[in-house]
Amino acid sequence: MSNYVPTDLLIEILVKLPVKSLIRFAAVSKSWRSIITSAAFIASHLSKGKNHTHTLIHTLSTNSLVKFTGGVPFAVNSPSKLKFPYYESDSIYTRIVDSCDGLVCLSNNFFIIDFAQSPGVIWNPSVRNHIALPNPAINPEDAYISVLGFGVDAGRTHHKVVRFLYCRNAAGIFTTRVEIFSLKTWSWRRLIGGVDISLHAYLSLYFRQVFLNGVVHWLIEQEPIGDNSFRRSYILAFDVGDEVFREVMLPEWEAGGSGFAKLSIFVIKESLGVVKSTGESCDVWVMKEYCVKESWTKLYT
Amino acid sequence: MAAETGTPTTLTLKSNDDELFSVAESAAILSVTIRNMVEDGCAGGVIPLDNVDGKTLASVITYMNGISAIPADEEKKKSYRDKFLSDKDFETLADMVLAANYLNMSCLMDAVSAKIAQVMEKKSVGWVRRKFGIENDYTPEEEAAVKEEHKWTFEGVETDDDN
Repeated sequence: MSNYVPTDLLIEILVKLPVKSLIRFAAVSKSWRSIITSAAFIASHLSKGKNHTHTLIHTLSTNSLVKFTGGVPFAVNSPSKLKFPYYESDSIYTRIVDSCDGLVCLSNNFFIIDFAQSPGVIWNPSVRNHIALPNPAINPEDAYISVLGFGVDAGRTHHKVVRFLYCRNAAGIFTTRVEIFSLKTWSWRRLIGGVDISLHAYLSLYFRQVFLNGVVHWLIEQEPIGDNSFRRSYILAFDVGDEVFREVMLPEWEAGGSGFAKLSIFVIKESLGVVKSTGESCDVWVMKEYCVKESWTKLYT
Repeated sequence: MAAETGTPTTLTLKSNDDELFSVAESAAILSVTIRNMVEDGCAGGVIPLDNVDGKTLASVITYMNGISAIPADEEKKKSYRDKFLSDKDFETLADMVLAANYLNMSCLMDAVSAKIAQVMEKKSVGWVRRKFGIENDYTPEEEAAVKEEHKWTFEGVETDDDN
């Protein structure tokens, strides 16, 4: 009996193969290559892989990357060393911005803009490909801080990089300008309206972003706004699909206590979570219903 | 359906090379195709399965009997499936994937396609072409270029075992 396998059954088989085999088998024939590289096939392969989580750990001291593969957090197995995908000696793109659907966005490790360099790199570790982002649209002489964010829209089809620039306008006042890079159109575009972020907040942007359901989140820590008054900490949210910034309120914790608290943001079971630690205690909060302030619940102390 | 008490109903299946098989209805209806025939009342005599040969059908019936004897325990069913498929060669698996599709047996379909993927994983491009009967429509230059572009995916490929 001949082993002719119809295309729909062939896809059932191919979708269960690891990426390395699939890329190799693109050399089988032109029709295999067109199946394997089709958007529909990639999407279904990606959704099959949803339960396989990889954790990428960047060790700053040795500037090395380790990939852990495991179905359950902490039940890690088969750690494998990865290399940053570019020139070893001159590795400036060594900050992991975030990863979405297997794509990792890396940026330059420095706050200060170096115009000669691309602002970042999009890296696909599974297929071992990376592409440097082209030169941004906004590159004013007076900009001196630039931070990237990375995410995909809720439909999981459109990846975008968001770039915050702290720069001086004609009147000599510093403001934030925002531009968006679309991986679909492969171009930068200025975001009109943008968002009002203080210099203080850039540090928060730089530290950790959290991606959840088509929205990128940063925890902006409380900052002084005048005589003895502070702006409360909040979560800045950027919807990748409609390109709108929103603020997500943090839980209403006891006044006074938060003055010296260290906050960090994370995702737990498809919800946003915040850890608030003071010298004495540590509280874990979770926002059970997205964007509903009242749904913040304290899980642990 | 099977009577409340007494002997279970038995169906007779006929392969495309005219072999006849008896199988308990309760096991046979794992195939949605057969179940529909039974429900439509057209399973009285012999059920002809025009797309499955005797060798493959025998194998599928072994699977039907084996898996339906296991109570609702996904772990045990999974280990039965693994064991059942462990000694099957590529040709048998390819026949089974076609049969599972024709008979509309999703659990067998998933297991067999996963097994084929597992068998293929470390195989060479040439092996895959021979086993799937695929004609190479690349020019030598095109093929060399495709391979050169992703050199690393050709590391760790097993030596062909079908020559």
